[in-house]
Amino acid sequence: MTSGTLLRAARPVALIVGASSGIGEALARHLAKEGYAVALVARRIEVLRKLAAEINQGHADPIAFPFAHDTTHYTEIPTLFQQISQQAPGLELVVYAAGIMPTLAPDEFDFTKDQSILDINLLGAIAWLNEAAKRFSQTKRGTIVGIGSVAGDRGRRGNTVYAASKAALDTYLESLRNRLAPHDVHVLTVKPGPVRTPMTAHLKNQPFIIEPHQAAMRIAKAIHSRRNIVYVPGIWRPIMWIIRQIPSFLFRKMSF
Amino acid sequence: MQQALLSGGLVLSSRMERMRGWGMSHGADMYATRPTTVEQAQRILERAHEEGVKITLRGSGQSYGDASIGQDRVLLDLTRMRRVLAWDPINGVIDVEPGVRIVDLWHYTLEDGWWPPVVSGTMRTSLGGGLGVNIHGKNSFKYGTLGDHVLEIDVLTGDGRLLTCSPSQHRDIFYAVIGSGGVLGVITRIRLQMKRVYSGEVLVETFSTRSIQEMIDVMEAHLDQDYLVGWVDALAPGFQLGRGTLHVARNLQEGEDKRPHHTLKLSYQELPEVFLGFVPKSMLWMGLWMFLHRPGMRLVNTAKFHADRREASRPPYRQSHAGFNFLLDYVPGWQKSYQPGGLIQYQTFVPKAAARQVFEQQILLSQKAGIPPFLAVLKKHLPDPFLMSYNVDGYSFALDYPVRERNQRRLHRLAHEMTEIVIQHGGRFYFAKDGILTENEFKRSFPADRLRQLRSLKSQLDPSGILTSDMADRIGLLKE
Repeated sequence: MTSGTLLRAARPVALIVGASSGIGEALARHLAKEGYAVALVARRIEVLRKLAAEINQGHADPIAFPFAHDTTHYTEIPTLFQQISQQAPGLELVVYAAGIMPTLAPDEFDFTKDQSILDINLLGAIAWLNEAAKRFSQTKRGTIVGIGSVAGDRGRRGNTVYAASKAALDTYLESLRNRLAPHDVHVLTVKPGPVRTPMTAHLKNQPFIIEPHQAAMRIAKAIHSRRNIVYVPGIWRPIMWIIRQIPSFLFRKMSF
Repeated sequence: MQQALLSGGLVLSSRMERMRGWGMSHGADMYATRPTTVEQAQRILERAHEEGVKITLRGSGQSYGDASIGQDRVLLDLTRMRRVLAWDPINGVIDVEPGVRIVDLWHYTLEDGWWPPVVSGTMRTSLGGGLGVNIHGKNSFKYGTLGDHVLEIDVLTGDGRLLTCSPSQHRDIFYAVIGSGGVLGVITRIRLQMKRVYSGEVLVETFSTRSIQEMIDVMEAHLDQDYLVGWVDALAPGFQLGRGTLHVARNLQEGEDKRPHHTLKLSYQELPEVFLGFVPKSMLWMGLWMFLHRPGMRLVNTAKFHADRREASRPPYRQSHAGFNFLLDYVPGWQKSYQPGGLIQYQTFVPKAAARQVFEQQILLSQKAGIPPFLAVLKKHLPDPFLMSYNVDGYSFALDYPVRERNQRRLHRLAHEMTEIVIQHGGRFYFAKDGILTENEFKRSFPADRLRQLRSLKSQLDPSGILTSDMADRIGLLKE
């Protein structure tokens, strides 16, 4: 479970940004069960406190630590990152799971909306994961996880900037992986299909939709086996391979 | 440069480094600082106080476990404070900075006819670190601990004061700082009484012993000697239980060595550079790695036992101080042969009467658990005057266990079983070594009034609790 030393007394720490709901929340619960201590970061502190209390149940010393933070306040991040590592020593895993997917009408081109997508899905991820990269490249260990999406694999007509933000994140993570490989740091890109979370609640008839706890289990497995890219669930890997092969002149005529 | 480095705060501007205990079974990520002067060390303590971060001290990083590491703490690495400040060759008194290592010490003094009073099995130990956990050597039964030979220390307390302490001045602080694992203050200067030697050699005699009882009996018959160290083949099965080799040695008297000017030369003390005529010593651990499993170690131990038996039938022989004392340096980096899991050394101190029984049980329990120690060393000890003393009037048994992914649970269970037996018989633990003793176990083995005294000193010297380590946290050294 640990990438460090064998005889450690304390739990390794996983830092999860966007831990108040969805995949982030499920991952926090799952990792705590696996023996991690979890540092939880999100805007809504009451929600986090409740989650932390649930995770801490049955443990003499707390293993979940909530931190309130709006991920678009980029300048706070380096200081907060240090605070977290002081309060929960032993960071081994950093997950960026914050993300938004506003609905877009077919004729809508709203820059304000687009900008907030990029702020949260991309710039927030870069701000947090850069900190993780800096630390792990010095300590020569650790795992960085970014949550991309199958949507980033192809520019569908449905959600332009959401797809673009996930595609950019995908490329950023690949670059990070190549940059950190000499330092023994593992970078995992997660590409989930639809997961039953608040983000997808307004969408109907999603194919191969899974529950957040199922997604968390699969992501945790990919973390332990040091995978580079994991599709969640796995069926999306062949599907997306086929979809990527479709030539653009045909793709634009298709209905999805 | 150090000042500039600190301008952005300790934590935000220091580089993080992965530090490990020497046995590689414990590690921590730390914000590294490496002061070169007392003032810089003082400044780092101040900054830590302002920023509310904790500090862990480290010398040359030779302790097996978690004594010199602290997860996400600021590392105060003292290896760059490594000057000899004064040397009096007439009286053998030396003043050094804490980063000076045992090797630096005797390199400085041996040609004048002085050898360190107490040395560890490796010459890489720094004196600051060595006093932090108050090391002992093969002459422990006669010369006590390293701390017993210190005349004076300067201590930079957690709240930034610089105190000179000795057995007569700030007596309580002197006896508490030495041996308490760096939680009260930073030792910044050490005045040490060296030991006069009249030769660069010691006279060694080897005894092959069939049991731990026999080894203890032979030791007791040689208390007039200067060094006693027993090696036990912990892999030997039932009817050969506790077989081993005892090395007994003494310093030569004045006049016994006809050519002291020759043997006292540093070049005479050098350890062999190559083995079997062509294998460089830096590569030896790789060869050792191939034997690091039970059948392999059984072979190695049996071969050593029989080779020692032949040696025992020969008359006593002379060996250089370095060659006799620094066995751990013959194969540099030998801990790497325990990769990837590393090793722990579990050392317990048991009063005379119970020693044989406890140590035999430790071997039997280890064999039953399927993790026999690959190295087992028996030494004799004296009580010492230090507050956090691990010594008893009796014997110690140091056991090296490999740590592996698949034996972790068994190893923990085994250690806890052995620990109960030691506690029952009034024994103590060298908590700087094993890295596996729990708070509960430590507190049942150690007098509560001494811990209260330590905490009361802590509140005087380091009231904001800046100094700690993973070891101190593990055994709850500073907790009520």
